[in-house]
Amino acid sequence: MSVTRNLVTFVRRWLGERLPMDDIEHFVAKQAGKPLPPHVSWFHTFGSLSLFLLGNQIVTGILLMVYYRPTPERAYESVHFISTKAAFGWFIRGLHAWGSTLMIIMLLLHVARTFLMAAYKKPRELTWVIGVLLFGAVVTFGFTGYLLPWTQVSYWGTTIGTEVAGSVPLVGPFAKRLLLGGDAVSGETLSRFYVVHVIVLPWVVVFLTAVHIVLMRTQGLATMDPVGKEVIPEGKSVIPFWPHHVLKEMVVFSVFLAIMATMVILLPQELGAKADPLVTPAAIKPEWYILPGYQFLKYFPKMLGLAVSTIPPLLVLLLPFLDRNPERRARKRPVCITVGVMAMAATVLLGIAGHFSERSVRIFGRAYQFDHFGIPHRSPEAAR
Amino acid sequence: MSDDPVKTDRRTFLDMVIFGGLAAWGTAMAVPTVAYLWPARSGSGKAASVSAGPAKDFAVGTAKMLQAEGKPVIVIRVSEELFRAFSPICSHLGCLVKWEAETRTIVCPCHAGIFDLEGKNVSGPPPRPLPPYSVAVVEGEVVVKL
Repeated sequence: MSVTRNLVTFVRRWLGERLPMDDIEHFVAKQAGKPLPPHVSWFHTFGSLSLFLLGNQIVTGILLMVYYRPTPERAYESVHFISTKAAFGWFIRGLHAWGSTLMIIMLLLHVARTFLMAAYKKPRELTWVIGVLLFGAVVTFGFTGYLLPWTQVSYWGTTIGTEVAGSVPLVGPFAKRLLLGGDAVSGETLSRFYVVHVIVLPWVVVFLTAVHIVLMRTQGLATMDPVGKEVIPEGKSVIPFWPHHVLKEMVVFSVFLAIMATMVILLPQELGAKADPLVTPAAIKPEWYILPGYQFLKYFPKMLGLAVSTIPPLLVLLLPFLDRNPERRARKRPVCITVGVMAMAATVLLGIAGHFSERSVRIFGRAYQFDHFGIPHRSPEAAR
Repeated sequence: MSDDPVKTDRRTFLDMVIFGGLAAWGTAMAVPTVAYLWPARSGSGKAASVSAGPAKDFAVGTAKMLQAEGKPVIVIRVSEELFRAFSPICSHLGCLVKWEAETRTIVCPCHAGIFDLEGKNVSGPPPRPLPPYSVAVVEGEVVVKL
């Protein structure tokens, strides 16, 4: 013990001769002891769970890069090798694949919690804006990573996704060609998506996350008091960040990792068939988090649809500047909460319509054909 | 409002020159970066042709999918004398269409878009016809000009 104590004392003295250790220790102690408002609950762990999942994506992503080969000839085979030959490769890949889906779910829950508790209001507008940009970056992460296994579903899902991007007036064709590296999804596209996925986006996401966390730590967590009347939490009812809240997050991380591992084992991510640029599979759909936007575009002519589809993300981005009501409690913000909940319900419904569109489904013994717009029609042929 | 001219000292002037120079450098370096990322043109650039095989092996009412110069091509034998060739890239969202012999239509499997034998969009979401290619039988060989 005394050896350890002597070593710590030596290291501390050595660092103290070179760095302002007193200032650093004071800063760390202040951050660790920062009191949290009494309403902070398990719902406040969605943000840190997203951070935990970002860590999971970085670690498992680095491990996958060891065996992955980003060429059309070898991409599928290398993922197949990871899944079947590399020791625990199936587990690492499963954690990465499920991690991406769960990260988007956690971010959505985090956004919903922030919206319902009005934590985006003054002085935290910038934290919200950075958070929305972060969400966009994470969705782009998912989109670029989707192509990398070079399967039929990923190839044609990417084709549809880039076609949607290409139909944006004026800049669309330019952006599409730049994204694809040519006229269609090819080896050039795979290289570009790989570089964006493993180099560009990690830096962007880490930078935005750092700014988001610094802002959150600087301003502290929002209380439920109205804007301008926030009372700094103090007294016996507050929760200290360390150790109480941090340990609560550790409990959540442990349970979450156990759930993730169970999902990887019981619901493995199947690889599917290798990409064939000459055969499009039937009823190909983009990933679930793109489905609502994709379905939304079907109800409008192309140009109008793209103009209209930019409005919802813009409204979300500018929410803190549009909602001028100083109240934070949900029952005192009936208009904002009603509009927000309706928008969330509409997004879910669009996703469901997108999932079932152009499919035959049997409901209570009757066959229905869902058309392009997601509207069901009785299907006598399919019923037979 | 004062009419006195704003005085700029030597140091401020030099700062402005240096900032301007840095901005110019940044802009100048953006040009080769974007040009580098812009995809190089694929193919030879000349009009190319591709063979769909001997006409005698191509049954009436069937289709073949080919790839030439990195582009897919669908060739359909409509009748004993008539062949048609199109770019099979659906004008809706880029999926590849396929030939349905039963209905004698060209169908997009993604969103059930339907094209007729002339490549014209007749049903579903595709907004434009399929771009046609000229096709001819040369010395018993079905040749598509791209």
